[in-house]
Amino acid sequence: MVLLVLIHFMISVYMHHKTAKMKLLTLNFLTCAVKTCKSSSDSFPLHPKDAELASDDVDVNPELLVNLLPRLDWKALKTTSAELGFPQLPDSPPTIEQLQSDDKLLKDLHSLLMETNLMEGKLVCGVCGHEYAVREGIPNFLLPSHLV
Amino acid sequence: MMASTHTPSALPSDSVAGDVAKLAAAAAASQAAESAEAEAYEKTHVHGVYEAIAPHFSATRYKPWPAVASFLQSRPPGAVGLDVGCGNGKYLGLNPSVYMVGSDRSASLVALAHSRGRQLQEQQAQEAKKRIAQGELDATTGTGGESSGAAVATEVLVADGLSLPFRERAADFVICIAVIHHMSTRTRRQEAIRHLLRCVRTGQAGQPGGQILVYVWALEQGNSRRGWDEGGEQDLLVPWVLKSQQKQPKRPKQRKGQKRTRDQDSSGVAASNNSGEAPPSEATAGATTAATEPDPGHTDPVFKRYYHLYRKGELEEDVLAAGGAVITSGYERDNWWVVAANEPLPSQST
Repeated sequence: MVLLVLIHFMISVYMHHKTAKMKLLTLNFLTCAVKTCKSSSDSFPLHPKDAELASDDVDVNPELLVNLLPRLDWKALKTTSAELGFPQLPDSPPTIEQLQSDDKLLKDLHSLLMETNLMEGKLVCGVCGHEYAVREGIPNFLLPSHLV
Repeated sequence: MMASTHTPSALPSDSVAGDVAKLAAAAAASQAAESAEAEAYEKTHVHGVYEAIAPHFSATRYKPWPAVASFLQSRPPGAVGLDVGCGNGKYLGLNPSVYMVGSDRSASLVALAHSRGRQLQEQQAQEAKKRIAQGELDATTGTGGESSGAAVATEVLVADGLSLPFRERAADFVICIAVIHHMSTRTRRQEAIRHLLRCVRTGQAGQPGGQILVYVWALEQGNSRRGWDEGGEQDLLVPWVLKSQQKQPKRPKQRKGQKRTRDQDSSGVAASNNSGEAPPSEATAGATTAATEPDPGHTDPVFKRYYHLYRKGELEEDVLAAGGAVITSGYERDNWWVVAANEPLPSQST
């Protein structure tokens, strides 16, 4: 499985090295722009659809990751990761100590959050069903007038 | 379109309750109409203009404001920040040890911000490679002290400041620089600040909440050549000249009666294009559409952007009205700024 993912990435990297993209980490901070959806927990995370992914080569920054860990919504990350077909994440996040002492864990998390990118596709709200287009790594959250 | 005509009331129409209901419905309807009107106005006099002048505007925006830079530099490593109204993204990579996501209403500016971020990333990668080659980095780990944490400046999206797509209470900080003064009613300006506050964490026992930094153009610009100062008109249309060549000065027109400005008899370009940000450049660009008007004798299109110039104390008032608490505030070269948090105030330490 890991090997498959790796191969998938290598192909993506080769094909899309220069094009625009958005990190998976950012998805953990995005929700539906519609006011009435925000109160429902189903509006987060947004669900990727027809997603084209690519991988970046980014230096591991252990300090950044350790500090980011408590700011993540782990449950949402687990959902996003599963929806994109990545190996399943554990139910609860690693502790800071685990992350600091386990090099593989650190690298895996780094790879998922910082090196995995969404390039094209849609982000779909689980409440209103609105599909936000992502083009060249840039999602567009401007709402049609009936949703404002 | 009154809602009351469709809702049969059990009460006689001349009863006080009926009148109150009618009044409320009328107020709601007029509020909705007002907000739609304000939105349409901003579409022409703010959004359309930025779409049209994006490349030219971006070329003049490269210098960070000192107060913004010091705010960003003082955020702890790993902090998650948002830049609402990020424009060309010049603040996104400023502190490489924080993670920032930028949003802007203008798709053209967001696209510029994105490619700018990509360039920065590639530059950094190349510099890192050079340093590795020079043996300055620990090649076995691939990371080195000063290079760890390449700036992330690519995370940008298109969104409206009054319909933000950010997970609530998740960010450590939000900056909103030279944005809120483009909202054309006080209700909308306060609403915009409320949206920013909603993005940052609330304080908990022993843990300070997230902070927002808001920067707006000041009415009091006694030291600038624009000629605006205390007591003057606060709601203005400020021209942006898409300069294609050196030429005669032109007469900027304002939305409402405005006290004379020196723009009118000197170079309106140099003065008016310096919209409370970086020094204007001599960059040239071409664009069409939006709020232009033909200027007899000249070929350069003039775009007019709406501004609300904040008077002293007004920004703090708006923060309070939005449910925020002012931490510090100040004035920096023609701009008012404020750092605020959600109530209650974090236990004082930072």
